[in-house]
Amino acid sequence: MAHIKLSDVAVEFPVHNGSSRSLQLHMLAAIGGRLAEYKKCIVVRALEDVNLDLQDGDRVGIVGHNGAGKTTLLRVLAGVYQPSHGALSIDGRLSSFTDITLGMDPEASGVDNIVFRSVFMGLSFAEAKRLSPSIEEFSELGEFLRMPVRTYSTGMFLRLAFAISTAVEPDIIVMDEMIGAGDAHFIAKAHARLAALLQRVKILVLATHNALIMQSLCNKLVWLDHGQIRKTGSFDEVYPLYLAGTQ
Amino acid sequence: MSLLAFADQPKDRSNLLATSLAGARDILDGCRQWRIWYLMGSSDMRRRYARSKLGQFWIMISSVVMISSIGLVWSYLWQLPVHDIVPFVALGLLIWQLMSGVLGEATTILPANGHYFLNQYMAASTVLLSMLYRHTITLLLNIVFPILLTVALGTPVTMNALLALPGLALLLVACFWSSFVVAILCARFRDVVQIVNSVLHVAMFVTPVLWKPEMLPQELRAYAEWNPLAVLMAVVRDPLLGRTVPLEGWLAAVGVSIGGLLLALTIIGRFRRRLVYWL
Repeated sequence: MAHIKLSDVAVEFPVHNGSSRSLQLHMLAAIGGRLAEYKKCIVVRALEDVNLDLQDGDRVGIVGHNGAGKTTLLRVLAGVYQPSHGALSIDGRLSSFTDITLGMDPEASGVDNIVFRSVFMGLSFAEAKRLSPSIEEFSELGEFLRMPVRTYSTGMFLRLAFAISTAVEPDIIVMDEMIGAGDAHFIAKAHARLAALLQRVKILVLATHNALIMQSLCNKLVWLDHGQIRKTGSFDEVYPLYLAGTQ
Repeated sequence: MSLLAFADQPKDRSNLLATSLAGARDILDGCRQWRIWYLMGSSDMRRRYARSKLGQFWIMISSVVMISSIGLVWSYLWQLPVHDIVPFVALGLLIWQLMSGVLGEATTILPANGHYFLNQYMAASTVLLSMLYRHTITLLLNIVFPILLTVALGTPVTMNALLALPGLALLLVACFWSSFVVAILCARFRDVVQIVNSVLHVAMFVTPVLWKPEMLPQELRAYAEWNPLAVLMAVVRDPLLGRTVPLEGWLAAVGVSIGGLLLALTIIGRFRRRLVYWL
């Protein structure tokens, strides 16, 4: 069973500008009291009092204007940012689809890259080897898989990245906008594969500006506003309010 | 996004043991992710020598050329017998390349790998281990020639030489923690990058890399024994040269490497989760 729980989570970013990054000023500040103001720095509070309790079956869409904290929240869930306040517990294997090419090496062949990307997603070498044939087949890259990835077109590269990233079966998926790749034929195929994966996965958290995708995929909406949760509920409850709120 | 202007930086005030344990956890996480750093390290090496016919042999060839020329110049310059100074300088230079390579690269390693940290949870130690792995492989490839040279020039092969292995282990632990601390400092304070690089330049000349401690006047020799870089260098180099490392030498090396690691744990534990905000 997968489970995500955030209680009173806040995330603050220290903004280190030139002077607070300077060691000299820090040392002066330690010596004399007069320069003590250099010890302070600007803090951006990206998330505040965020409470979330997600169970199996939850398909959560996150809406909010630019800078509302959507990506920050996704990164907290992915374990990238440790909250500066509050508690966070995540139960289950999590895949973050914020960069589906993470771990891939342009100098290595497609076959090697299947192993690289899988290992970055937390698989062992044996598991990666076991998944390889089905990934190779799905990517439809054929003989190109023996070539270094730098020889691929952007579309081919993304196709491979997509094929690998969607081959792993996590409990939780965190996604910043939908992922997809390839030409007309491949897009349809990729869409079907992703939809099936998103059905199987226990918890999905998706931030997107596309209302249609959100309506079809999500059974719960979280409206983030200035780093705080403004409203949680079904698509029909929250989305009209969000639209009205931004106008 | 709400802006909280001029608030005090949040400070972690948990006790020393808890911070050290947090640091140890980061290193354990990094060890558990060995597949990732093994792949990162190998692909870095591949990228460096990709599309070159000789590939990683370039590392060996360039070190052979460097060692031979420096060794010869030195023996002429100081009128020292070749069989004495050349193996010493050759091994010293390679070990120095590991030390300075690791510390120099540590200055930029965290920002350079920022995209990994921003897209999934990864222990900070993972990228440091991948760098250390790459430099260790380079050293092991390079050291073959000097060892053969040492034997060819008449140093007897004894079991004593095997002591270089525990020596190397101590050296690697010391390189690991010191590069971790340097990486953290450099991520936070960008001027430390310049400081570390200039200190490394000077350190090469004040450490017995190109000269022997015995060449120093008696009253200065103690200094070479207190230099932690010299201490670590001695436990790897001296066994290979057929010289015995005194017990104090081993104790000092253990102190630098294990004692330093324990101290470093408190720094790593305190800052490891804040690193990502500095990238």
